[in-house]
Amino acid sequence: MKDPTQIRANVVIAGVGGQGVILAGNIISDVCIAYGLDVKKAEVHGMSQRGGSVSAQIRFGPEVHGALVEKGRLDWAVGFEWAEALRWMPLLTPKGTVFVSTQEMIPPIALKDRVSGTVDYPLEFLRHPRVRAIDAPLVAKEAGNVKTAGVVLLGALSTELPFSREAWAQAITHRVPAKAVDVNLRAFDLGRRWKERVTPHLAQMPQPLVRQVELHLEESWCKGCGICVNVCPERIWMLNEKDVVETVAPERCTGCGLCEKLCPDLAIDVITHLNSSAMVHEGRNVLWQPN
Amino acid sequence: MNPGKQLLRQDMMPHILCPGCGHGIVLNTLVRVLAKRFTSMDQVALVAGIGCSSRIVGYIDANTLHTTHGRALSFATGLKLSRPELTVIVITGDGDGLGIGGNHLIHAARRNLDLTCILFNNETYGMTGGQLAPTTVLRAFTTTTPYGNKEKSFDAAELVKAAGATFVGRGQAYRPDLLEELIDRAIAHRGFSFLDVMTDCTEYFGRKNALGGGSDLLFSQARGEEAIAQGLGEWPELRDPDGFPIRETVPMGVLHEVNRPTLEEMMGLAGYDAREE
Ligand code: SF4
Ligand code: SF4
Ligand code: SF4
Repeated sequence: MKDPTQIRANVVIAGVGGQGVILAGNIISDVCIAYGLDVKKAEVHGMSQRGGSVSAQIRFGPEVHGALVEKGRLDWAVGFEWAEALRWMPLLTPKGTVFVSTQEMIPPIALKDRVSGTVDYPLEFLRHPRVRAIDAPLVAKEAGNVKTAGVVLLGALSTELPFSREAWAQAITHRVPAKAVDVNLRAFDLGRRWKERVTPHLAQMPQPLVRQVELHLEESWCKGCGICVNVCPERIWMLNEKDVVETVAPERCTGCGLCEKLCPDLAIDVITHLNSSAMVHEGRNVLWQPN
Repeated sequence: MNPGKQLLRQDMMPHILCPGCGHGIVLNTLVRVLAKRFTSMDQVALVAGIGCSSRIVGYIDANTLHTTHGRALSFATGLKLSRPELTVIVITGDGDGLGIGGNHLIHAARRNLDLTCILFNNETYGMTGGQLAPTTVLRAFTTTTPYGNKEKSFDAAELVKAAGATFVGRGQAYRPDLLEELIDRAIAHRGFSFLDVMTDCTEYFGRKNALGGGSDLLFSQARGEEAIAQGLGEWPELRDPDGFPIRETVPMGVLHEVNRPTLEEMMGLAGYDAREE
């Protein structure tokens, strides 16, 4: 490994609000500073309270002039969430590595089109040779608190950087609340053993499942009360001239089940199928099933 | 997919309830719970009195008794004492259970017989034409109160709790998930379980009080909803076009749960332990 006081590298931590992206960025910076490195950091955390994107770019080396990572210069991307990591893939150097949590969190903004919109990124990862996917929340739970998933990924990252475990431990101890130090250090150490825990290769992971929703209407039971019409968030039911409902755009159905549960006449059936990835490209919801 | 749909007597459907009647939503939820809980309906008996609510037992393919007005609990008591291994669920309305059969209700609660009583509370006598019920809130218009109700209404849950029921809860048609949990817990509870379920009579209560059609009435239940997530919350206050409150604020969720020997246990009835929970 390189001399820790001479290393020059760019790291990005990406996730969504509340996952501890900023904290992780601070920990990395602290470690670098402890080795006398120059560190520049840039953060994006708009909308973080509402689950929006959060990222921290950290550049370090004997001397660093700017905080933003250029295209093709990113050495490590750490994704606390699938899709957020994906955004940074174009910046990677050819040898750049991605540590990514298999966790998927669809931000509210993506819910505008609740049926499609979130499909293809797992496949991007499937094809990429330098992605290390780790079920970080699961490992974090083992450490004692699912919230330490980010620190698990830091642990994984730390194995590729020349800094000592003690320097990392010190930075963590300094940065997290006193009562959470133990659990975070446990998570960090479990993360350092990521090779035992890495999801073999994504190709061997269970295929993403596609949710397909079928709607059935027992027309002769419908009394045209209009409850489903008003309750459906996607507005896909409409009363026809016979005062019986019809679907306007069944493909928009998300399978929420509200109409089925609130139909006083039990006329609606919402049937959800989970199909394997053959259907992925049709643009339906993908429910990732880690195990 | 509602697994309960297979429990319906298909040849009887569609049911007779009016468009948008909240009772249908309770039926929807009830069969869902039954299908999830029981592998066979042989050990389940549904007993009902008279009224729109009571009609729903006719649509469920279990052991069902459609009895006389206000006497569902009396029939159920006899049934349960002779067949203690059965899970007996009594379906009644506010007119049936609290008005005509109010006395049976408090005594059933007092005895703590292991029954589940689900009271469909739509604040009116629907089937007979929308008359004033003991649950009709102050100022509401009904067929028999054209100038608005002047009588204080019952709080069914408080009444039954005071009478000695060991499980008391309140749900609403608007929240089928909460209702599902309540019905499930009420059936699981050993002892007299009582659920006051707020539903809507679109045909009379809704129309007389200018509260709109099925979905308007249903959505009116949504007001003041936040606290419900806790299991306890407030029933929204609803006002008539003149600004008078016509739905009082009442708490929701599980309101009371204690354990006390059931009547079956006190009597040492053979077979009671076999009740499927
Ligand atoms: S809720 Fe049921 S009965 Fe009412 S309009 Fe929709 S399908 Fe028809
Ligand atoms: S399940 Fe029903 S309410 Fe939900 S989106 Fe589909 S049609 Fe609309
Ligand atoms: S009269 Fe009222 S309670 Fe009876 S079925 Fe009609 S809407 Fe429901």
